[in-house]
Parts: sequence; C-alpha cells; structure tokens
Amino acid sequence: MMRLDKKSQAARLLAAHRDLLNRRISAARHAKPDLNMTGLSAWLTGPGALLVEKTAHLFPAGQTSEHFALDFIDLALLITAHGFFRTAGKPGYEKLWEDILPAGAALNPDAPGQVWGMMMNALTNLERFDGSIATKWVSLLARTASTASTLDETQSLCIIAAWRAGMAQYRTEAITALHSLPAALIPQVMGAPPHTAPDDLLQKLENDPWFDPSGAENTDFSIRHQTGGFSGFGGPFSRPPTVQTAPDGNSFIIRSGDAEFALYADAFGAVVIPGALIELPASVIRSSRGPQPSLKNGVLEYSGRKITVADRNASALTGMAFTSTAAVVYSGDSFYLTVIDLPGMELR
Amino acid sequence: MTDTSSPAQEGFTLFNRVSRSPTNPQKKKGETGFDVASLFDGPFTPGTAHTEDSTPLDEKIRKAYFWIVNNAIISPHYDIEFGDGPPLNWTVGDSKRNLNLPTAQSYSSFILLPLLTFAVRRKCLFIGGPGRGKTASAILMGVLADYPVKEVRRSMQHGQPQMTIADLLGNPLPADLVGAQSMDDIRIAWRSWLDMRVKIIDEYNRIPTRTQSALLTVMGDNYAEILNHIHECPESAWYLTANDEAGGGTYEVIEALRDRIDVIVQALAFNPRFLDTLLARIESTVKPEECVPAEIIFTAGEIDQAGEAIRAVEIPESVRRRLEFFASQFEFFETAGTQFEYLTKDTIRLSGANRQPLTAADNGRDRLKDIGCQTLNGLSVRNLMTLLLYTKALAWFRGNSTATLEDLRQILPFVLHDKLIPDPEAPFFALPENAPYQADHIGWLRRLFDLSCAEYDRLDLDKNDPVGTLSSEFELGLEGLTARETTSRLARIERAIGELTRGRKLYGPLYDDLLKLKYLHQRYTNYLHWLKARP
Repeated sequence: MMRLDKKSQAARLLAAHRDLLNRRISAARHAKPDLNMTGLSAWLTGPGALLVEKTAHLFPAGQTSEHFALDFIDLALLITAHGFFRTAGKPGYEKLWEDILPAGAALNPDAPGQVWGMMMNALTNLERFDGSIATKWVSLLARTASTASTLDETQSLCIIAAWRAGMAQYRTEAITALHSLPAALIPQVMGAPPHTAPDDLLQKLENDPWFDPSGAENTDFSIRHQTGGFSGFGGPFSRPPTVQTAPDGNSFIIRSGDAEFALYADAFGAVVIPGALIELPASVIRSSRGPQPSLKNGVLEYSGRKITVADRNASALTGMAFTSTAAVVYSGDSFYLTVIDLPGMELR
Repeated sequence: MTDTSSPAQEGFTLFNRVSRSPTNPQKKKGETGFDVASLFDGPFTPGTAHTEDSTPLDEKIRKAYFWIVNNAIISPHYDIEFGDGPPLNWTVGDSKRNLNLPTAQSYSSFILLPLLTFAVRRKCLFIGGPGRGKTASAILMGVLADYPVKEVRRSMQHGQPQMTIADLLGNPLPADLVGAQSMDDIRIAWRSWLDMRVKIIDEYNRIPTRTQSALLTVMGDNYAEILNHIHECPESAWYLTANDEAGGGTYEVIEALRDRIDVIVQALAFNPRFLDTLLARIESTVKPEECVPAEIIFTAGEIDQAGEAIRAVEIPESVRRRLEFFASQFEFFETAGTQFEYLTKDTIRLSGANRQPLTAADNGRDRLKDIGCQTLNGLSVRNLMTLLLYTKALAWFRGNSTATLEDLRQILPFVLHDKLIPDPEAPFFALPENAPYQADHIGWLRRLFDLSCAEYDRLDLDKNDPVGTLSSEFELGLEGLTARETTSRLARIERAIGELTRGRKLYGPLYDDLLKLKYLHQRYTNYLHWLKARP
C-alpha cells in the first residue's frame, strides 16, 4: 500500500483533523461494518491526495477548514462504500481529481460537499450507463469546469458535457442550459472556434441535431451511429426490435417483445432508453404523402441520393423509420439499429 | 435545530443517509423514460439536498422508520404483518405455532408505534425488561422532533420514589415566597421539559402517587399548575417507559394515568444472531441518536401537517361497521341489572358487587362462543377514538388515503393492550390451546378481533343489517318528514325489535342494536309529538 509523504498536503490535512476524521470513519464503520478499509486507504493516498494537493491554494493560511476536511473524508468514505474506488483510478479520470473537483471546491471552499456530491453522482450515473461516455464526460468537463462561478452554472456545464459525451436524450435540457450561461462561454463549452457568434451557434444547435460545432459540416447521407443489439450480447433487446417515429417527430420508439424503448440520436450520440412509456397514436404514424426514403437490398434511397447500409453482422435489414433529419434502419437478425444522418432532406 | 456538537451531524452527512428510493413504491401514471434531474441523483448527494422540501410527509416518516430499522435497532421483529396474498406459513413445534413470512411490507411495532405516536402526538408506553432499548427509542423520537440529543436527555424525567411535584413541574422563586403579599406575586420557575413537543417520562411507575396526579394534569389537560399559576404546554408526543406491564413498580400507577396512555409497545428480546452487529456498535462507540440525518428531522409545522393528513384519511363504512360490531361485544353483562340500559360490566364495577354470583347466574348463553365473556370490562369512548386515530395513522403511514380492515386489525392489539382486561375465569382461557393467550395480550386481542369478524361474516351483516338500514334512513334527517311517514317508521322499528328478539339469546351486539333502535324510536316519537303539537 502507498504511504503519504508526511509533508504532503493530504498528510497535513489528515493530521490537522485527526480526531474528527477518525470519529467520522468510526461512524461509517458502524453503519457499514464491511467498509473496505484497503480501498479507502488506496483512494486517500492516490486520487484523494491529488485532490487535496489541487485545492491547497484555496486555503492560503495553510490550514484547511474543519468543514472541508469533513466533506473530503465523507467523499472518500462514499467512494469506498459504493465501490467507486475500483474505477476511481482508471485512465482518463486524473482530470476528475486534478481539475473538476478542485473547480467545484473553489465555489465554496468551506462546504464543497454539495458540488462534489452533484459531480460524483453525475459521474456515477454515467459510469453505470456507459463507461466510455463517463470518461469522455470527465475530459469535456475538465476543460470548462473552472469557468463556472455558481452552483447552477456548474450544473449546466455538467449537463452540457453529458450531452456532448453522447447522452443524446439530454439535448433539449442541454440547449436550455446553454441559454443560461454567459454568452462568452457558449462557444468554449461547445468546443466551437473561439470567435463563433453565440447566437448563431445556439440557433444552429436548435435547428439541426446533426450539427457539431467542433466538427466539419456534413452534406452527404452518412451512417452516424450503430447501437442496440441482443441482450444476450450486452444489448438492450431480448426480441427482434421494431422501430417507429415518436409523436414528437424527433426521436424513435422501439418495441422489443413486450418492452418499449426510446431512441434519441444526434451528432453527439445515440442512446436507447428503456421503459419510455410513450404511447404512439395511430394518427401520428407518418402517412405516405409525398416521396419517402426507401430501403432495398441494404441501400437507402431518397430523391436520387443513396447510401449503402451494412448491418454490423451483415444480417438482413428488416425495416426503417425516419424523422425529418434522420433514418433508423434495423435488423431483426442482429437486433442492431443503424442511425443515418439525412442532410438536406425536407421530409416534414 | 440539530446538535451541531456531534461530528456525525456535520458536513456531507453520509452514513447517516436515509433511503433515496421510495420506501413504499407505488406505480405512478405518466412516467417518462428519463429525467435530466436523475443525472444528479445518487449516493453522493449531501444531506441538505434541495429536493427534501418536497418529500411528502408520509414518505419522510417512512424514511425515518427505515433509518431506525437499518441503523438504530439491531434486531427488529416484524410483528405487524401485511400481505398481498396468503402468507407463506410454517407450523413449528409441538404446540404447532405459526411462522408467517408476510408477502407485503411489514413492520416492527417497537419502531412503528412510537413513530405513529410522534405523528399524531399521543402517548406511548414502552414496556419490557431493563436494557432493551426503551429509553433509547424514546430519545430517538425527541431527536426526530428537532431537539439536540443533549437537550432530549436532560429534559427526560426519571421516575423515582422521592420525586416531588416541584421536581416535576418547577419551583416558586424563593425570594418571591418570602416577600410576596399575594399568590400572584410569586413567580414560578417552570421546568423546561414542559415546553417540549416530545416529553419522555422514564420509569413512570416509580413516581409517587401524589406526583402522578400532577403528571396526570399535564398529560390529560396539557397544563401545569403550581400555587394558582398555570403553565400551558404545547401539544406533545409522550413516551413513557416501565419495566412492568401491569404498571406496578415502586408505586401503583393510578388508573386515570394508565387510561391516558394510548398505545403500549413491548420491547421484545434480543436475537443473539445479531451479536456481530452489536459488537460492531460497541467497537465504533457511535450512538444512533447522535447520527440522525437531517432529512428525517420534523419541524413543528410538519408534525402539524402530518396530523392533519392523518385525520383526513377515510375509514370506510365496511371497516367502521366491523369495529362497531367488535366493540359491542364487551360491555354487555346480562345479569348486571334489571333496567335494560344498565346491563353492563360497568354497573358491576361501579357498585363493587361480587362478580362471581352474577356470572354464575348468567347461564343462558354459550359463554365459550360469546367473546364478550372473555373480558372484565368494555371499551371506553377514549379507547375507540384512539383506535380510529391510530388506524388512520397506520393507513397514512402505508401511503394510503383510505384505511383497510387490515390496518385496523394490526393496530388494534396495541391500542387495547391494557384497556380490555381478560377474565382469567372465562371458559375460553380454560381450553388448553388458549392458555398462552393469558400471557400474550397482543395475540389474544388479535384473535378476539378475528373471532368477532368471523361472527360478523356468519351473520352476513355487510348485506343484512336492518338496524343499519333504519339508522341510515334516520341520518337523512327529519326535515319535511310527515306524521304518516314517521308513524310508519316507528312501526318498522317496533317490527325490527320484535324480529331481533324473537327466540334469541341476548349478546352484546344485539343489546347495542336494541339500544340503538330504542334511541331511534325515541327520536321519532319526540318528532311525532312535535308535529302533532304544531298549530
């Protein structure tokens, strides 16, 4: 086990509040007798020590406050109790302890617990959803976390980073959050070039779900995401999925056996959410007025423009549903969904 | 206000966290697939979470219940059982006792009853041997009411044989006693516990009789009096403890004081299978009452709101009728008097007459079948009011707006614990299979209620209740009722009395039905007189 250097900031914090922290740990062991003390030590000497190091400047007199020490040890205990210490040291998470949590502590050095709690909850939820999204979220948030001056702004930055990391279902809330930020911050948090006009950026984001300010504009039909899959292989579907356009016209409803799901897809990701209880009235299902995209032999065609859609397992494609900006092609064999961006189409 | 002197209550409030998930989840309509707010929900949320303000109070008290079950009480006994279907059942031992595994959320009376008392601000007595957690549980209730642990401990009254009224209520100021020209000039230093919203009397059966009378005034009428000075006390939840179920001890508890106690809960024995948890507690030196999370602390306003919500719970007629039928069983005593209204056990008690010859004279009925023969007394109005209130409270606690028969059945033994006194000479207790009921009051009362409900079903009173029909008719009012219709109703009442009494033995419910019919008859008779006397 690693040991702390006695001169390190973390060692000084633990020594300065030794009795208080010991009582806290004792209370935690009372409530959870099987608390992993090895895990706690590993976090305190690794990521925890880094966090203390990066927040030391918040206490110019050199003495951390009692409240800070309590929030710090509580964070350590919760990370240990919920098994998060196992993933806490994984590559890509250094920024969490170096930048994100220190930025949160700077908002209120005497009581960082609330903002730390919020950030850690978000990370835990994202980690549970998809570890790669969580890692990307850490990376994105690390670039902007220090720009927040209030708890609300921090919360907005967390939502926007989650959206950009791939949580497409947060699109509406993230755009609302963007509106609440200072205009000068908007290009930075969206990864747009520095001199982009914030209003133009917001308008484009609202109008085009496939617009990514950090990437080049796409003008051709293109396969943007493949998602779904059989539950036996880690996917969400236990039965062959069928896809329909949702009543809002922007997302998709998937039925797999008795289960329902919603598919949200945009430039940043495609997410299948289970249990979306959206009833689809028959009247809402798109009628066949005017030309529509067609799917034949794995080729999607619309108004003379074509794209070849290959299923991940080269299985037969079963059907297709589409919104004004995207089509979803699905396979009853592999249970995968392929999301296709349809720029320049006027399907509405 | 919480005790900030304890480190366990500062900062991030982690291991004293309460359940974030619904404690009694019920499916809600219109659920959507996700909510962006859920991004920030999780184990790391500090205790000062902004969402707590909107937590419904029944959910909050359930969280308090589960926090106590998970953190404070080491080996809870689930003796208040609910089921979604038939329970899984095992017959165990030579005496063939039943072990039930309930199929729905069930509760421990030792925790639930004090919490309900807290919500309805009534009086709860903990009984049980020393060292079983009676006082600790009472202190927890004080902490839930937003008092620091130290204040709760200091304001707890410890019964002891030398306890005076001054010890209990306060002192006249000595300087005023010397110089005062009248009683009004004497100022009183009232004891601070009188103003608390949770009052704890430890070992109340060790308080001398005279001091018990002063306590009775505070408990019953909510004020204290010394030298003509009155101190009004706030509405409070009371917790009393006693080692002896019968209220015995150094001094016998006066009957009026015992009657003021609304529910009695027994601290059951510790299960040694939980010794490891006990050991962990000893090693950690942490006391649960010092770690109560802020989310389950109730303000005075919240307790008021909880009380209002509880009173708003509906008790449907079908449940109320079964309680009426049950309560009718006990007061009637056929040989107690000659005038119909005085055929009650109370008549014997008040007269001090020897009960034995009167019981011997009562030889016309099946004394084994008549559950009224199992008790020495009947139910008072206060008992019934308490029973209704706690039934509502239990339904509210379970997240329902309407009480069920099972709510009533489960709460009834704890309310009537020492209110219905068993008659040890009753034929029921002479049967070998019923002998344990002489010691197990909870089991006996539950059995009593089940027998009453079985008789209610046998008589098919839900469908066939002539007295109920006549009462409902009367409840519609006398306004505009003609003399002819009144006479017709009088005739129907007389006919009903004739049918009910024809060739039948007199039992408690029939006795009360006949008294009700007499009441209705009298009301119609008076009305008819008034109609005829009108110019």
